[in-house]
Amino acid sequence: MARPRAFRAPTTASIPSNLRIPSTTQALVKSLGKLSRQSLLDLVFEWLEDRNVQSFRPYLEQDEADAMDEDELKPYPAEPTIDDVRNAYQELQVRKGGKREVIDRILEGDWRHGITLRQLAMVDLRYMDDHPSSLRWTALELARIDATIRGDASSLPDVSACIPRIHASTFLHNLQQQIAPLVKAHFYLARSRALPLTFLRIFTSNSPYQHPRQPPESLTDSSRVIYVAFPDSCPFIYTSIASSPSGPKSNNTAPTTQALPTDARTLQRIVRDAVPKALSLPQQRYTLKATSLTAKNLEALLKLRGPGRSNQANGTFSIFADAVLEGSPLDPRPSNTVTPEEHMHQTSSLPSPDPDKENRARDQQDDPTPTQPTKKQRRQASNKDAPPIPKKRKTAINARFGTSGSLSTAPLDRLDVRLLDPPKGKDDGDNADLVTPAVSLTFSGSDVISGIRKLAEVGIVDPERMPSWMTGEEAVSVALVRGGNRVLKEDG
Amino acid sequence: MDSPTPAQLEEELDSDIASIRRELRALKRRKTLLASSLLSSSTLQSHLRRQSASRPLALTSLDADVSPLVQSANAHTHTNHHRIAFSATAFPFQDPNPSITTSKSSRNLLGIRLDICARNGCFPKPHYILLRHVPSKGEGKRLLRIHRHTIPPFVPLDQLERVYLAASFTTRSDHDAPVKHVPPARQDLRGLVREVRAQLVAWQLRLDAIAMLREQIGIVRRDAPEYGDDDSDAQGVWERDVWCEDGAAMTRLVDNELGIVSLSPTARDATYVRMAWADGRVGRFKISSRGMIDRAVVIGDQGRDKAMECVLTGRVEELLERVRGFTPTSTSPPTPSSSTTISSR
Repeated sequence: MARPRAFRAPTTASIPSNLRIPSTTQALVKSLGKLSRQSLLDLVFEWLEDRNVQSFRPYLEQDEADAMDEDELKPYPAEPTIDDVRNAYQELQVRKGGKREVIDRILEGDWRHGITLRQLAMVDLRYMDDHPSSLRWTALELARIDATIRGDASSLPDVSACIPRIHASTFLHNLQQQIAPLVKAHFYLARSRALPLTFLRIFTSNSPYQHPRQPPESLTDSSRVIYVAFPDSCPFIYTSIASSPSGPKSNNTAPTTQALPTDARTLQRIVRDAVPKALSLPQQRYTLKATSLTAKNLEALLKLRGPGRSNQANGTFSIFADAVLEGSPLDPRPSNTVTPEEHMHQTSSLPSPDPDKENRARDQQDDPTPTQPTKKQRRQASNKDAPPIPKKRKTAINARFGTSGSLSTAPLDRLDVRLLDPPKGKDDGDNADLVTPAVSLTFSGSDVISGIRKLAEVGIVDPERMPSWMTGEEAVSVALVRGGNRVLKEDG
Repeated sequence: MDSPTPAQLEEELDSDIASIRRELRALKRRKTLLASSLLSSSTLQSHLRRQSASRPLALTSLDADVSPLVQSANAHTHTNHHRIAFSATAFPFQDPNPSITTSKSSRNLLGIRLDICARNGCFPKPHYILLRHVPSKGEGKRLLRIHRHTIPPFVPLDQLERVYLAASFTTRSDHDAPVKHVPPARQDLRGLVREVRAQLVAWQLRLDAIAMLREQIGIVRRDAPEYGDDDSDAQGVWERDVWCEDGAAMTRLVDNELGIVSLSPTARDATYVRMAWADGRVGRFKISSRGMIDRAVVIGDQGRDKAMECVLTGRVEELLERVRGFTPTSTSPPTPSSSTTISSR
């Protein structure tokens, strides 16, 4: 693979951002129609900003003069200046109406000469900002391939040892170099507006060797788009590709030996394999490792594989991640008189549905004498609730789930668990290689862990005996379980 | 003026009730705060101690009522003093996971709590490390490995664990095959905590330094992002601190004579800081764990601005003084029009 520099086909550059898709393409209406009217208008204003307008030039009167358009049947006359275009959209902003008129105005009016690939990418990312659960994301861990760690404490590893710094243009350049011989792609890198993430949208077109030009519809084909999200300051990346990564050295050389299939999936795989290589530096090579977490909600991914505190503290241990156990050392109040919400510093803003979610189970060992007010409050709460939850069960639930599912939640939309235990002998799995019927459980819903917590509250799940993967402690969406504990490999 | 409709009246009353409730809650919170401060105050504690010492046998009803509260307040104050003074404290924790059946002791976890003081004297959320015992082969040694923790991932806890906790190597080697490793001679829990704490403190200090620089320049904040109607006169760049409590709030540097429009960390670990000037120059520097800027890069339209790079290098806290001392000798800064700095709300 050391040859791509020497071999320069005229087409190895990435697809330029200003490649225009003809506005007559029907699929564009669909792509733009995903956005709400307000988002569309926001995007148009962004395109028309002073610093952007050169890249997204609208169709003006002078273009009309150049083009010598014979038919004057266009519904939207070309505006003389860019300011006029802005005013036209300001009017649309003030007026109420459907989004169809905005789309029509964009496609048949001001951008009748075509929507560039970059504009399309911005539309897609805007949609993702508006709908953070629109895709399924898989979290992958970036790991050093050849990290040799010395055992002596004097030479400590670097702080940022596993966090690659991403310099946007260098990274894209490297990525392009990696995939150029095999995939023709368009890249768009953008910062998320709500989450601490950087999105990379990669549109994979065909391989550069496919000559007959593709129809414009293929440029809007969403199955050819890969998203990679880089969360800040943590060694994880999220991709919208479902399949697990190949091993570090498995098929790097394989594609060159046989005829390469050029379907979208293969191209996506090539791109995905190239991402860690593009992030690598000399003496610092990365590979991607699966982390058994796939979820639709980006916030869940950020909570479970993100830069925050809660990567390794979920379920029972979420009380530590949210620091609801004890207050700051300057707080004179004993911790058992303060509600966990207050510890989280969020009480004043949002009225919680259950104001008395007592999380005191663990306090009993810190301080065996709960004081009067909490007891009283607890009694009041159990009187208020329609089906009163027995106090013992509630304590057990709080001990097992901590704050997950109630105060803070990382909504998993799916949880697949495969039980490796033989159905009867619960104590030991030594004879597991005999006839073992595999039992697989799949939970799905908007928030699985909250749901299990609810089940425990109504008494369907025994909170004291349930295994810890049911509390979300393992922070995975796919797990192999033996004896109630997650095992990493089926044979291990 | 027509009289308000019942619906309006109801709405008004509802909002009244809500505000009164809010006030009640605040007052209640204040009351518990004051009561516990009073209980834990050293004057009261010493007074009570003296009183009980003077008559050791007479247990009045007041004593019986008060003493548990006083004792718990006393204990709490002691704990807090330890947390403030030593920063790292240990506590026991029992894992309620019923699947742990191998031995009784593996349920008992050793918790370590790290409190780190921020610039304003507050303590942010404490960090926790929970260690569990690893069954070891005889020799009576208690081998530990990290079970759960809340340390942010940019602190390389895995690698520190491999360096300092011997046990973690023997149990982890199965699925961490590619990592070649020489097992350390012995387990050093103190070393682990010291190193983790040092990195957390360095992180906090970096955050504090950047916040201080931003405050020295001056910041404006607005609550919700708006599109399309940015006041183009103001030069500062709106930035959103996605990690602060209210995610929608955005802050911006006020127009300043230094011409700096943006100064913000590039990521959450706050190792790298990005700067931008009104004349188009952008810069980036790295804050070392000792608070030094060792290297800086400033690039403008005419290429590298080496003079500014030299000025940036040094202690991070004195950055603005250095820049101020430097600016007059260079090109005259763009005159800020102070009349147009009203931020759009």
